[in-house]
Amino acid sequence: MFRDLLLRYRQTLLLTLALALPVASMYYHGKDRGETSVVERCLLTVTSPVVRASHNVFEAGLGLLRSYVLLTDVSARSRELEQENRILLGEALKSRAQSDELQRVKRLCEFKDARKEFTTVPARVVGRDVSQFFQVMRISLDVGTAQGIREGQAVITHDGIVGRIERLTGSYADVMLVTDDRSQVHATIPGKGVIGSVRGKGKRNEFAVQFVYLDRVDRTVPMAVGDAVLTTGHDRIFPAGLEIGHIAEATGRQNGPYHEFVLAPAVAYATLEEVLIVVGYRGPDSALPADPAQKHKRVVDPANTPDAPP
Amino acid sequence: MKEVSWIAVAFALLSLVSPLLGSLDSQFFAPDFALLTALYAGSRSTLLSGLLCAFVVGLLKDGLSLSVPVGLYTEINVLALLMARTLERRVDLHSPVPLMAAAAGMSVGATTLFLVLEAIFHRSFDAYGDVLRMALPLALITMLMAPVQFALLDRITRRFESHHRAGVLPMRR
Repeated sequence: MFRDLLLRYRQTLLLTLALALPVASMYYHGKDRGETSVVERCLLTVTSPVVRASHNVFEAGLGLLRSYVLLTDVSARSRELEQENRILLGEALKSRAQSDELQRVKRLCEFKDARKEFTTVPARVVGRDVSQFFQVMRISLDVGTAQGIREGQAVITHDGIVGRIERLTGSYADVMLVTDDRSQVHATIPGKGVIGSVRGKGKRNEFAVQFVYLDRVDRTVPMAVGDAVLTTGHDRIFPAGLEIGHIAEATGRQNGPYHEFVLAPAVAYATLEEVLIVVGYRGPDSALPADPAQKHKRVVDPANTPDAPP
Repeated sequence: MKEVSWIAVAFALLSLVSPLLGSLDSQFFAPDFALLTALYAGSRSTLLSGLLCAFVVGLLKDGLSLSVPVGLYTEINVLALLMARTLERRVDLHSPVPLMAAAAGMSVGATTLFLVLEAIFHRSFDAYGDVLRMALPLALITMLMAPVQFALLDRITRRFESHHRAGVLPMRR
C-alpha cells in the first residue's frame, strides 16, 4: 500500500524534495561556519578541474590568437623590447665610457706613482679649440689658482707632454700645446747623441708639429721612424725623460746648422680627457721648487725661450 | 540521455563564460545559462527528467559560485522549470520573440528571487545594490542568448532523437 502510494504520488514527492532540499541546504550553508561542508567539497571536486581545464583551453586559444593571428602581443612585445634595447644600449655605452675613463685614470695614477720625483695636480680637459682643419690648437682645464696652479707650469700625461699653462681665468686654465708655434721644448733622442729643441709650427693651414728643429752633434747615426724624442729637463719647465713625440719621417731637411725632422706628437690631443700639471719637481737637476708654496723666480735660459731666434 | 547532454552543455557554457568574460573585464555580464537550460528543459522534457536536469544544473552553478549558500541557484532553477512548464501551455516557446520575452521576464524574476533568498538565508550578504543594478543588463543579455542556446540544445536533441529512430540508442520505455 505504501508502495502504491509512493508510485501514485511519485511526481509530487520528487517535486517537493526538489524544492525542499535546496531550502534546507541554504539554511545550513547560509550560517557563518568556519569550515567547508561535505556538499561544498564534493561540488568543488567536480567543478574545479573543469573550470581549470576550460580556463587553460581559453588562455591557450587566446594566446594563439594573439601570437599568430592578431599578433597584438608580438607587436607590443616588440616595442617593449626595442625600448628596453635602447635603454640597455645607453647603459652599455655609459658603462663603456666609465670603463675607459677608469682605465685612463688608472694609467695616470700608475704613472704618478712611478714618477715620485715631481708633484702633480690632476685636471680634466673641459674645452678644446679646434682649427678649420679639425686640429686641436689649445685646450682648457678645470683647475685654477685655488689648486696651486701657476702660469708656465708643465702639463703632462703618462703618454708624454701636452704643453704649458698659458693663462689662468678664474677656475679654468688654458694650455699652450707643444704643437703651438710659440712653444719650444728642449729635447734629445736617446742613443743618437743629439740634442735640440722641439718647436711647433702652429700655422693655421697645416698641422702644428710637422717640423722639428734638432741640432745634431753626431751626424753619423741616422734617424729612424719611431725614434722617441724625450725632454731633457734643461728648460726647467718639463721634467726630464718625458716623451714629446717620435720621428715621423727619417729623412730630414737641413736649415743652416740645424736638421729638421717631422715629429708626430706623443699625445693625442683630440681624445685627451685627463692630464697632470707639474706643480713641483724634486729631480736631481731640479730647478723647480719641490714645495709649490715656496716663492721662486723661475730662471729661464734665453736661448730656449719661445721668442729666441732659430 | 539527452538530459545528460543538456547538463553537459550547460556546465561547459558556465565554465567557459568565466575566463572569457574575465579577459574582457566583463564578469558581471554573463548570460544565465543555467536559467535558460531550465527554461528549455521545462518546455521540451517531461517533469521528472526536466526536474533532474534543472536540479543538477542549479547545483553545478552553486558549485561554480560558492559565495552564495549552496542550494540557492538550485532552488531558482527548479522554480524556473516549473514556471517554464506553465508558460509552455500558454506561449509558443519555439518562436524567437516569445522565447526572448519569456527569458527576459524569467531573468528578472530569478534576480528578485535571488535577492529574497539571500536576505532570508545569507546573513553576511550586502551587495543588494549591485545585484539590483545588474538586473536589467543581465535580463537583456540572457534574452539575447536564449535563441542561441535553444538552437544549440535543439540540435543536440534532434541528434539523440534521430539515433533513437535509427535504433542506435535503446528506446525509453
